[in-house]
Amino acid sequence: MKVSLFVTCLVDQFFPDAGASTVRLLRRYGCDVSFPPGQTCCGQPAFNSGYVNAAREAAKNHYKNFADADYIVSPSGSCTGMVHHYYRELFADDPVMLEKVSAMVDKTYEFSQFMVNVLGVEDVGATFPHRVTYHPACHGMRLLGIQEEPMRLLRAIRDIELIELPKAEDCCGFGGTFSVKLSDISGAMVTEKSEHIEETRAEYLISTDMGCLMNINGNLRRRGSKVKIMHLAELLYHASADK
Amino acid sequence: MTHQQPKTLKKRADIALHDDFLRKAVRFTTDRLRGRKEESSGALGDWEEWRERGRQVRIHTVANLDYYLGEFTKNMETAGGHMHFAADADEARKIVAEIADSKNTKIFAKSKSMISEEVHLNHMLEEKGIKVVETDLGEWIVQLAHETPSHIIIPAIHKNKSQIQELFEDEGHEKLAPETKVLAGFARRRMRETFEKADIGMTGCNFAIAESGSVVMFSNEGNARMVSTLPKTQIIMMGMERVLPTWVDLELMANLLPRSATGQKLTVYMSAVNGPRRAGELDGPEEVHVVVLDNGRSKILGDPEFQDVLNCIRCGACLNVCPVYRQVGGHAYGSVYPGPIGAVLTPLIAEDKKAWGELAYASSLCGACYVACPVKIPLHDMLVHLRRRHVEAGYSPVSEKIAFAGFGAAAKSSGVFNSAANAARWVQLHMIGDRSDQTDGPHGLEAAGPVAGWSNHRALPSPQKESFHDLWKLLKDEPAETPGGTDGKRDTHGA
Amino acid sequence: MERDAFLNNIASKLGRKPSQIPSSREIIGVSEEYKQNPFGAGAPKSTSLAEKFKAEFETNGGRCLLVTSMAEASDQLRSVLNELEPKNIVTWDKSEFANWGIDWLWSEQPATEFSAKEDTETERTQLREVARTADVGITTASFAAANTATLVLLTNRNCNRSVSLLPTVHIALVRESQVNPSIGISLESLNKSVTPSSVHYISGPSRSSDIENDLTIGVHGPVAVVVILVLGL
Repeated sequence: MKVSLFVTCLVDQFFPDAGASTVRLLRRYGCDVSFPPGQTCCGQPAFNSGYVNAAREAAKNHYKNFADADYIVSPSGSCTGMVHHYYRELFADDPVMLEKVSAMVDKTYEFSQFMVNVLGVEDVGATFPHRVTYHPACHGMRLLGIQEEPMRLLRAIRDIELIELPKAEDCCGFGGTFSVKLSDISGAMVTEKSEHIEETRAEYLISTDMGCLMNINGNLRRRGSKVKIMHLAELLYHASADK
Repeated sequence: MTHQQPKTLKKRADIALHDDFLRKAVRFTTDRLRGRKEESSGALGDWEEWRERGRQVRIHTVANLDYYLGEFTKNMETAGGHMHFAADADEARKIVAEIADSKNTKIFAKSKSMISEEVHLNHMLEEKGIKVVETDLGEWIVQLAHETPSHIIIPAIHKNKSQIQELFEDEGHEKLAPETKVLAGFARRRMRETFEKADIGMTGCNFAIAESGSVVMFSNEGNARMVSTLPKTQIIMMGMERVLPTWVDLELMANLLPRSATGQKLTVYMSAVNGPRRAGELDGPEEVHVVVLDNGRSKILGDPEFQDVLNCIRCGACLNVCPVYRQVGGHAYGSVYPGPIGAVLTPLIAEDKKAWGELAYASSLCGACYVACPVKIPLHDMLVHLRRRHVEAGYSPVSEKIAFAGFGAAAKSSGVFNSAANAARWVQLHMIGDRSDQTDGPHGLEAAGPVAGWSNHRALPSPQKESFHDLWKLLKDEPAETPGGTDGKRDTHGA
Repeated sequence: MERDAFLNNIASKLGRKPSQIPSSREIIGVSEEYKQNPFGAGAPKSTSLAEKFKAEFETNGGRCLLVTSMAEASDQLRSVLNELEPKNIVTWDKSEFANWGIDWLWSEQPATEFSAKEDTETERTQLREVARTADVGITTASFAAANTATLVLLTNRNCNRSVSLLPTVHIALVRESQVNPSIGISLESLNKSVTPSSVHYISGPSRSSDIENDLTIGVHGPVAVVVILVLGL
């Protein structure tokens, strides 16, 4: 099975280990993983701020890099959500591109959805005897429909103590440029999210989105919290890697 | 909008963020209403199907609005009601002023009508020397405080009992106590006089039934019934889109609206008015006037990106799940309509699109509003589309335009993009350093430009020595590990 | 603006000429499943509509007395009035209570019926005067709905709005045969008849949570509603 990795700009620059963990896990289950080096960004920051032309340039480059892929997998619910939910809109006026881009969109998967629904894997043989709580990233949940997949992967981890996060479905306040444009409102939102995380007394916070994790982690660190963040792929990989 | 309110969203939000009671009250209210909605909508058993029906009925109605509004008009007139059509707020005020003048109005009793606030009706009437009384408990509190409502369903959630006691004591010149029963009892006594003395009673309209020419109002307190029973003249103001084709469609809405707004299966009162009283009836208004308002709504018709915003049934469910509204409450939006629906509707119907366009940015685009909406309005998509229009109209800041033009150019090629990203990473690595564990901040470069916004509340992420592109050089040729776990590979999908 | 200009503007914004008939549609009102069972997924099937009505009405803060005969209804009404000791009572026209056997109400109690008999203007003024300070208002109902515990009151010359609104306590006399599963049947009947000047769906005593989210019963409408429901009729 040939898989092209859509690493996302955020993971590339700030959280490369999440990308590496994704690659290693996919390879274990028979995927031949390639990494189109020309990829840049899906265009979401521009699109969500109203800069459609800039977003389209990014989308064209994205298409160029992934047009020939069999499967495209990304460790980001929000970037995958952008592709699924808005890419067709970006090319609505160009029927030829629209058809080509649509085909690419249909081959694009978020990491946990790909593991569970395509590879059929829920148990990676991980052991993690720690208190863990999970934050369902908004775009992944509401644009892509990610529901049970991350939980299935988490529940299969041996010795893990999964604690439900209060008001889990409330937004962490990242929203891309929202976090800097209306930073005080964003700050209030992430503060409440941090408070809920601390209520769980979890040692680790897991999510499918580094945007959320970066945002929450920043606030947790400021608060002097001991909670550590991990991308779901990082947790699954490191908790099951051959030592 | 009160005159004391600052003109930008950011400044208004800042005031709200420092108001502890307000924030506690907003959270308490929205949690309560949200929980109730979950419970009562869940009890129906197939809420998604109800939502889809609601959406279809409203789409059909708006798509045939001229027809249904025409039918409503014909039937209301047959029943003896007077129909008026107002193109804008100015005309709506003129129409009401004329009616008020013709009746030598001294006292004008209002039950809840957001649309009357939209057209700034009270101010106009008060300038004419008419005493306007808001009879809805929450609206009366807000009126006495010279403020605007902060929530569509519960207008005075930002006020506590002591504050309400003070307002009521000033109004009634009698000693009260900060207890709900006492305060509500005072309102009941005082408002009785108003109901009895009012020359005109005004109500809003939840739904206008086209097939019979009836105006339906959902309420709990009884004041809507009072102002449509006792005063000689009744005025009903309605947005032109608040129509339903038939009585049987009302049953659908009678399930969607109360459950979404407060979690009730049905409000205590659902009252239909079909014109003035008939011959031989002993109460009810002698005259009924319906004022149908456009005020920017027709501009939205025929626009595929936004027409569905007219499907709104004003339940407030989007407010109750919005994580932004949760933190700042309604006044931060500066508009009659707050929350997600307000952020979309206000710029669309406003004249000054540049000023109001900023409301579309008061969102992290989490999508909770869409999921909560009982008629499935894609508010989250509309917010993004409004931002696009704001940018296309040239209203966005120059620095932002430049930044995204640069982004667009860079994103075309990984050479450029990666150089820029790597450069930023280098700066962070060598000039800021790893500040990810610092509990104080921001300092130095962290406080620069847009980064300051981030750093006021969050540590920056650790700067990485290598990007994924760098890691790939070795990762590329790394052999696959053996799979662990009991499931292993269940289904190879042709690998 | 004139009506035609207003409506024509709407049509033109919708990209067409004004229409004389609406486009066709498949989704009208509630689903068939709901019509068959408007009580929700977990509701017990065993209880009667009357019992369901009572349970829901009491959840809403109302009071519901189930009786098995008109005679018992009359006794219960007497009993409730003894409890309340009203100084004055207003009622709908006596003819609305024809089979209830409660003529004693207007002879023994301080009760006045209101409807247009002679000089409507005088009667209007009297109703206003008396109803404003009435302790109790007594009506019947046209329909009741079990799932939302709703009474449906239609307005006409014998059945005015004030009696169920102004007094402190509203008492409604209802027969079991009037109790439908939901408000759907009453709405369909409105569809088929001439609509009254007003129709009132009442599901309990008035209430508000506007003060610090604290629920209070009895705001502008009646503070208490009592339903006397005769089974078997």
